[in-house]
Amino acid sequence: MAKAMGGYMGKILILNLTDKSYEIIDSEPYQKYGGGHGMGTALFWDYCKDKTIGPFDPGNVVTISSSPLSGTPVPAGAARVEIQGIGSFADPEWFTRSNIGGRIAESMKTAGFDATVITGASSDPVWVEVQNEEVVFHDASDIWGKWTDDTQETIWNLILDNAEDGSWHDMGSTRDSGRSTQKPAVICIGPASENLARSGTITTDGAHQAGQSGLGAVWGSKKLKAISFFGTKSIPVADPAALLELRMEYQKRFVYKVDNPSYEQPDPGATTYDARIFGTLTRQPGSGGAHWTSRDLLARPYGCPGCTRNCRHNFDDGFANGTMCAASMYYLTADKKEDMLYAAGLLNKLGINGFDRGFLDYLRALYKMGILGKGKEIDTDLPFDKYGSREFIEEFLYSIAYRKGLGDTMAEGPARAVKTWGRWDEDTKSGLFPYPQWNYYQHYDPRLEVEWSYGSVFTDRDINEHGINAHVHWLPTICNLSKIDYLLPAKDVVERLAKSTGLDVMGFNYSNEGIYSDEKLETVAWMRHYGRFWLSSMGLCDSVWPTLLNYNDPDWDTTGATPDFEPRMYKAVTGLDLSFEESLEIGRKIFMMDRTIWYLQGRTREMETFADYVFEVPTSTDYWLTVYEDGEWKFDGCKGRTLDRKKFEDVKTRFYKLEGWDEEGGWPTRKSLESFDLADYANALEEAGIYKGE
Amino acid sequence: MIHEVTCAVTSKSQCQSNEAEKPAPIVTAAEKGSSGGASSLASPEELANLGGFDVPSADEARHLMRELDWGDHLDVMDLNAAAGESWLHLYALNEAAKFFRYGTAGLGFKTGGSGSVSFADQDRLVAWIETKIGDVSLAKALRARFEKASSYHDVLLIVSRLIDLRCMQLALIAEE
Repeated sequence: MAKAMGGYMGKILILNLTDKSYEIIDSEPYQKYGGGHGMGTALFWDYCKDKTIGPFDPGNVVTISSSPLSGTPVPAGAARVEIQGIGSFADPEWFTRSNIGGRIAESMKTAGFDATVITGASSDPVWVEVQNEEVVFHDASDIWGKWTDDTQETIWNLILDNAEDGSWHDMGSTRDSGRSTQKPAVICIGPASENLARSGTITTDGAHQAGQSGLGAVWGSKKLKAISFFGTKSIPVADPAALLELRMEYQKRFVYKVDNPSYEQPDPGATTYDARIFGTLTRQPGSGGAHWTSRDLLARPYGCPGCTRNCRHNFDDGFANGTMCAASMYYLTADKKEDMLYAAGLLNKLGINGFDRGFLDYLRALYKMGILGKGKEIDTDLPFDKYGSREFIEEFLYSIAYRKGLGDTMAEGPARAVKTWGRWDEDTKSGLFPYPQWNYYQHYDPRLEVEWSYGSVFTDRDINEHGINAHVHWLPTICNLSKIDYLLPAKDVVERLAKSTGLDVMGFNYSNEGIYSDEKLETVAWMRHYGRFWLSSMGLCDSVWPTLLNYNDPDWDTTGATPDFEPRMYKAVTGLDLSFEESLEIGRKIFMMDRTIWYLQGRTREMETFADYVFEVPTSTDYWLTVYEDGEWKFDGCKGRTLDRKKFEDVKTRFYKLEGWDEEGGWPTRKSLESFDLADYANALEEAGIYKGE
Repeated sequence: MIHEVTCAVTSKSQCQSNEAEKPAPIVTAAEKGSSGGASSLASPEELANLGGFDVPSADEARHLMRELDWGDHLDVMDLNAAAGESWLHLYALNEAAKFFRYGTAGLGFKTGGSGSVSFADQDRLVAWIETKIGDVSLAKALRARFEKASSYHDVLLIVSRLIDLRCMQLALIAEE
């Protein structure tokens, strides 16, 4: 592989928490994996000697990896780092990932590093200061126990010597040692992760959370409270002029025009409602979704550095700043909307993952059934009679973060708690507890939107990738609920998606037959490979990428930025030629590296299945998707559908073959691994006794 | 009376257009002279129309506002693009009011973000109010207005306002 001329800082920081030492290594050997996830997997492979250990074993290794695009002007791709290691949340516990935005990626790079590797475990609380390649381990006894916001503010004040916002900070004593008016980017844990709550997060700034992995609790087990990155180094870009031209071209063609939108909300009820229901499609700033029922708390859009969408919010009182997504809906039926906001803020400050937003409703159902409560089968003092109040949500979240009472069980994560209470079989069979795979809450319907569910069950967690979902599901859902003309007919949607991805149109057919077709499996594979490379390894934000269909062109040209822009952005930053097809092959290679690790950790074909409700409980309401039936494309509600067990088994066999894995067992074959220059991965599988028949 | 709403792009046959053309221009709230994001609390006209509901006794009002048991609940769904789709159980009229009025609005973000759609099957909703809650008057009012609704969004506006109004009325009576 040719040497990159930009994007990389050239160094990786290896921290040893056990003896408070560190080393700095060359990042070039790892650049062939791109960055982010690929780089992190390769580092985990090299530094985690025994990959069969549990998450809280001191031998577990956590990686934080940026990409060559981090900190550059690429649109919606400059901010994210990938965090990996053996997670504590999924069941089984295995190698997993999470992803976080904010200022952390560019700050790690301007401090001098493409990635940071955390090894060992400290006996006492510790935080690490990284400033222009200098590393200092600090005693964290005084900040252990602090909430995430207080932790960051304390570290800012320590590093900046309580200087006022905007004042200059000298990085050293010489003229060239650098100075900055910025604050360090601090990535930290809160009380939940300190107390090994498996739904504990890793947090930076107000509400950027790596939550879907249980790696926060791994930091807690290592007594690692925080890492601060601060620096003044420049991030090299191979062709800055080309990158800026790309940015401007993207801005012109694909970004929502605030002053002159090509397509705005249909504005139903405009005289009484501020409705922007197409925000999720047009990527309107501050509009991550439909919000027909919105009300007027004072807020303004806020985004990660370099973003073209800015999907988050800051509020007039500052509480819960940056909140978006599931955390904002965690306390859905609070008595006051201000208490919904309060709950979101508390999740951020205590460092608890807000994605399990159905768990509260489930617990309340048990309470209403007479199963959970004081003196009941599941005994708790939590005041469910005050459900909806601020008092209730405070006690509930504190109980998890500090492992008080029932919170001690719930801190093991919702699914483990439900298993402990002996309700798993019954409640996943009925769907009352909708956790389809690996202990993760249902995101989109696994019976219908199968590139999501298949993708999740073939990986390690809920995949959380919305690039196809926005067009095949949200476009018809919004139009149907509004009873307005479809922005595009179904046929045009699938043809546009096929052109952008290079896939067959039948890969976007969600009919009862289409979800088991070979074309559908090609789509599942495409999504995994794109996700592994461009989202997880290059750090492009899932809120914007892939851009498969465009709603913002002034002339209504729906051609998306994908697959044209990604290789051009990569070349402008690194100077390297990489075709889109080659990028997907790297994604496939990284997926295979992950898969090898999971098999070393005990994965089997039999484990790759869904909870019973997915196979046994039919969908009961309209769920709009693109469907091909009787020779025509249409949007259909797909009611009454389940996944067929036998057909799903056949899907597994055919998908394994498609990916170059063993058709029966699902492990990557030696031949496939060696074709990607991964003989050491094949050797490891052989030594572990996986290759019985090969 | 409930404010009648229309979609700005409903001039064609609804929802089944097969023409790939640029959608009709949209008239924004600002262009319509709206304040946008205004409260949904009742207008004087609507308050005056509270008499459209039967007036229960204080005991009856408290009964209509009671919390139901498991099995008498209503299944509803919160739809959000980023977080996905989540089923919920509602046990009381005031919970329904919160859910539809602002409950799933993602904290009432004026600028969007985590906004979502509060979804309920309208027939099941009316049946629940009529048979489980026992509020025949509210169910009748909803049913009558649903006949004029052209979309789920219309339904949502009607539901959120009427249940809101009814809860305000019942609360006042119950306190007497």
